[in-house]
Amino acid sequence: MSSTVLLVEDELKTAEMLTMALETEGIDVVCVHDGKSAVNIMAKGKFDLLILDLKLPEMTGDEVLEEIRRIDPYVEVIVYTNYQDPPTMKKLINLGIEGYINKGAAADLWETVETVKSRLDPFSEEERDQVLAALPPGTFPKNK
Amino acid sequence: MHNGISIAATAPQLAEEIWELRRSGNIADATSLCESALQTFPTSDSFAKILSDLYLEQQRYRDAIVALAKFLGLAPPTHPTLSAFAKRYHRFRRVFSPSEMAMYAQSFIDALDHNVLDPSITPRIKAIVSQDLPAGMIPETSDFIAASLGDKDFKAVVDITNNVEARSPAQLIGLLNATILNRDRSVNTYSIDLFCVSLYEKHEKYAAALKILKELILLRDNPVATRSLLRISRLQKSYDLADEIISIKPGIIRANEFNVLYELVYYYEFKNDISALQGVLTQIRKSFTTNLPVLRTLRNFYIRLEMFDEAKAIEPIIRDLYDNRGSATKFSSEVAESEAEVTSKIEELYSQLEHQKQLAAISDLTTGISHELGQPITNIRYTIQFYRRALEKKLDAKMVFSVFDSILDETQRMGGLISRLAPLTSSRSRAEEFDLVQKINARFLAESARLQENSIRTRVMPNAKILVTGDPVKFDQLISNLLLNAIDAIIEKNDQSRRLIEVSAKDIGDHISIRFSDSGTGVPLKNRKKIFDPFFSTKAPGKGEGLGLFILWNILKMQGGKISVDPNFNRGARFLIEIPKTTQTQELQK
Repeated sequence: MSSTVLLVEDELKTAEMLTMALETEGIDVVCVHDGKSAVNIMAKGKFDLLILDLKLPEMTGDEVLEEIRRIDPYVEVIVYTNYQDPPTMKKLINLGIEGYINKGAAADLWETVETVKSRLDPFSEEERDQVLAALPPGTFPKNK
Repeated sequence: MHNGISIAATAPQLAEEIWELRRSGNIADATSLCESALQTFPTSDSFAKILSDLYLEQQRYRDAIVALAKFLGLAPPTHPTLSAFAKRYHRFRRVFSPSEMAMYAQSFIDALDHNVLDPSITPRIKAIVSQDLPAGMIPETSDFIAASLGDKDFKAVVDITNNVEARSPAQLIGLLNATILNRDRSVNTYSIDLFCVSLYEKHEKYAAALKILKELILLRDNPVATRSLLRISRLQKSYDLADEIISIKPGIIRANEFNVLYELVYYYEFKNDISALQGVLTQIRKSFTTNLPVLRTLRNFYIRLEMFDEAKAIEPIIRDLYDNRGSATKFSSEVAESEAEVTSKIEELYSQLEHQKQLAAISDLTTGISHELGQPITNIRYTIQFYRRALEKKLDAKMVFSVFDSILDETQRMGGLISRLAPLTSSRSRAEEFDLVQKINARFLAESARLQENSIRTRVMPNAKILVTGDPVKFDQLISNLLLNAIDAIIEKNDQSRRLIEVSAKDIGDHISIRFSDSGTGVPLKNRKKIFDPFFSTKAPGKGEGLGLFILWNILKMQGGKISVDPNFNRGARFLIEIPKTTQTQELQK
């Protein structure tokens, strides 16, 4: 199963590294650098997950999320947590966000990739096997 | 049949019995039991109500509505009564034709006019039923039509509308809709139509009011109409229609009536047109120098717009006006006193707010710095983390070097941020005499390659020397920062016909005034207060972090000068700068 992530990040280097890292894990990435492009490219069901930088030129991250929720109320969204004041955070939570990642001194590329992967597919291979094993026999008819 | 019900049966027992019959589908028996129950308990509103429902169920509509009227007469004047009535009355609308409904509505109103109901509930019942009265059935209709044909019968129109309105506002609106709303406008009925606009406005039928207003204003200017137009626009928070009318008849906002000027203050505030707003306030101040209520309103405007100097400037005039009335009202001086106190109290509050804004600016600055430093740190960490994993698999010298280069870039960026912030904290400040015009020309020369490449014309005025004593390096920073912004703005606008940067300097007493204009994109009104904030930028990612103007503002402030955006210039951006001729040379404290 291949998933597509929309990355909204105005910092080009950050975007480049995160895109490369996600792609090595087999995740497709579409990257835009400002909020307006994000809203324009957004269509219902087109993306499995959105990674949203909150500090963007022109439109801020919370404004972008507001618009995006109008287009797709269910797409999963991960935001960067740094530099957020409580009112913005409250607004974001009300609009619905599924996770957050760190920037700055706490930035961790592979942790970010793991966060994204776990949102896209909540089960690891091992956990999937366990779940399948726990199902009553005959749940899935075997092909003979 | 239940004719033989025991006399001893209580009302609740009967009600239960009726309910049982009704539930088992025996509607006819339920009805006759209910009828006799109402005879036994003739003041029971609930039996009347149930009876109405039972009749309705059997499609005996006329009986049902009579029973409902009986219920209304018996029930206490409470909200539940009202809603029980309204719910059932609406059901009749589904079965009766509009003309039948109008007839019943009229009979309800006739009954209500004879004070059969408690006065606390009467108007609300009227409001419910009068919706069914067509204009033709309002008794005053023919008189109203006759009177409304010419302004000479204005008084008769007012009297009739007062009568109808007192009986039922809904009926009044119905009458106006039928007779006034869609008729042709004429100068002979101008006053009556305008009066009807005020009635529509009073009852919040704004669409109808605006329709008539537009037709009236296009027919003839009238300050009262203009005022209504602007006031309704303000209440509806949309000046679209007003703008449309103003574009056809721009003269209507060149009034000198206070009521129009009052609305224009809100209009320009909404439009964010600061210079027009100030023009209106000045006009009010000059035209009504002896009018105490107007001046008090003006002062409130000044306070609301945070123009405290102006508010204080008219304080003495207001006080004098109070004093002149002094003989008549002995407390007037106290009133003036306490009002003046309010102004200074509010000013105090605002200065506290100003302090909070400064704190917020500091917090913005630190947030901005941590963001600006956070970005390169993120980049460095991401780069190392990514390539560490890649290089673990396969060591590649080229890859290693690209990591090094990338990290060097990022550290350079961090260093750049620190050096750009340096002017804010640097205690080194020179003071020497230099020619300001020559300095400006030198900065333009240094950028001549970029200017020519983008075919931007420049003009520096005057051609003579202007000597000032100050820090030439900081002056260079000022000019070069403005120049680079101007070039960017012109490139962004991409207008081939006008590509011009103009600087003019003028000696005015103890300081030099500089006007720095460009024909670029300009500063949108909404950004005019923000452009000097730290880290405010509208440029594309990576093209600017929004520190330039913030630093300029601070440099100038430290040297006793100032910088602002000219609100009246709209062919691009114009910065107004004031520089003291002799900078205070004392060392700035770190």
